[in-house]
Amino acid sequence: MELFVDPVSSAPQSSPCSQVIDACAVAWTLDRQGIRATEAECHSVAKFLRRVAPPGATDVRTRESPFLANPGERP
Amino acid sequence: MRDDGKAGAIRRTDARAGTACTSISTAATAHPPLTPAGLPPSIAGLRRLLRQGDLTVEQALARQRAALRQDAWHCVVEVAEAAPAVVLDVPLAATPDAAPAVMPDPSRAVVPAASMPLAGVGLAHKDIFVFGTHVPACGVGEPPAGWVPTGESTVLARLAAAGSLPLAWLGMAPYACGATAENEGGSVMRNPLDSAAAVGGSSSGSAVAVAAGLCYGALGTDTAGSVRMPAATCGLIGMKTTAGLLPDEGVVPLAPSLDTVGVLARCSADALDILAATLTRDQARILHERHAAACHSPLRLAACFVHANADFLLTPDVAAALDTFAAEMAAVPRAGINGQRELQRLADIVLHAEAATTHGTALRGALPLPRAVRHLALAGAALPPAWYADARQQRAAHREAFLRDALGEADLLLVPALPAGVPDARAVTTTSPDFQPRQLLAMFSWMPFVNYLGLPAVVLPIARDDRGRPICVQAIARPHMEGTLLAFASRVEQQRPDAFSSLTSFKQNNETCLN
Repeated sequence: MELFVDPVSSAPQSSPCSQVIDACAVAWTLDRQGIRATEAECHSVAKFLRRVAPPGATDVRTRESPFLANPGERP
Repeated sequence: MRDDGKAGAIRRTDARAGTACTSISTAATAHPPLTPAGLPPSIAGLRRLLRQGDLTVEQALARQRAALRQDAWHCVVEVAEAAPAVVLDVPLAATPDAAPAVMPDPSRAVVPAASMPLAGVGLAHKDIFVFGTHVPACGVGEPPAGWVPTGESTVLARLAAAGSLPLAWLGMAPYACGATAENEGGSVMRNPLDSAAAVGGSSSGSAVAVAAGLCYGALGTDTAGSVRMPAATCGLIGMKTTAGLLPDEGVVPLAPSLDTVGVLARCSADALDILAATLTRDQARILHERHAAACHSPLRLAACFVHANADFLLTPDVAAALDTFAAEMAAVPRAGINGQRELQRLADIVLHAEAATTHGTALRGALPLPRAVRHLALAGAALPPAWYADARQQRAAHREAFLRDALGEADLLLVPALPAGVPDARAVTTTSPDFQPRQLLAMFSWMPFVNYLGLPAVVLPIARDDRGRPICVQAIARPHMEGTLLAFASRVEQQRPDAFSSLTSFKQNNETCLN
């Protein structure tokens, strides 16, 4: 999946990202920091994030999450 | 001088024990055992030998260095070069507060004067400390990319000022990241107690070297159990100190707000001596005062052996040993630790977020990182900063609540160390076909929340399972009560000497560490 190689440049506007903390959100977040990760790594990290997420923060639309801090930038 | 320089050739009379040791070759017989260097197993025993003039400090160090070179456990990374006969005589009154002023150039090997508190005491340390010209390899060959040391380790400088220069650098899990000794790039470390048993990490070499008798003690670092887990797998005292008690200067970080330097030793008296030498003079005085006070008054104990996560049940043998021990110690049972899952979650957040900072240069530069380290740091890099800030902000309140609710009126809270005992190495090695992830997770199920709370804790053996592997308990105290923890360990040693002594040969000697 190219999405995980370079999510910002290659992700389509109709992103497959769901509204939860998923591998896509992880890939995007890491990419914003200049960090590349494999799809498997992103899935693994997403699993970790869901485990440690504060109550109510598993949805990326919540204020606690930075994933939608700038929703327009989200792939 | 009666040391002819050959291992095991020393002859001594131990006045306190009233016994004579003739050579290491007799250690397996009725004679009291000696370390592989042919020396007494405790610091107190070594001091007696030095005092009696049967051995010089230089000879003691040479023998210990030789033993480290013959490491059969694959725990030694590098043995420090032999010291030339230059005597360093640092006035005791000048240490350790004034350590920087009286420190010799550490790149210059010296033989300390016999009057120094740790003269002749061979210590070797996790290869994570900067000292003199030594650049720590951190289990992978070099420090993290982008990490710039601010100076040499203050803690090691203090030990040097007390007369103990590092004799060797010891193996570890890569970048202090791992609950076991597993290291893709290193040799497979063996547990001196049982070669099939796991060695905990990440200060694995420290535990193995001490348990094998290659040194009297070792420093490690504990970010999420990395001193306590290896100590527990090797039947040692493993002391995690209060957050901030020991300076972290010159120590390669993993997660700075959780990292603590800790001590591994075969007995509480050795641990006390070593820990005291790492402290400032005032801190050492307080340590000794609290130790003495706890030795002479009853300790109030509480015990909680039930984890909030049902996945981490005690195995029957561990449960039986802990219950019996708690009953003997008259520990007040606690039903559980309030918010234990939340503490674990917050500890996880802090650990991952700070590890991401430590290894950020490697992540951004696509530099190779060991698998476990990369996983930890990647997850941290993806963590919302707000979660991390929240976890840090809640820390003081959680500590206050824990001290109020879990410790309460008690001086110490007893909890398990390894809830399933010491696992087989193959069950907790991720590359093994017999790998069982739950067993690996269980190893640190009772560890990271203590780091998050910043409290001191000690693990110590209380029994042995039917395979002869140690069953350990963990005691947690209020901040800066390390002296109380070691006094407790001393009591247990006296009551349960068979549980202590990591060397089989040491078990034959009742005076091993009780002097």
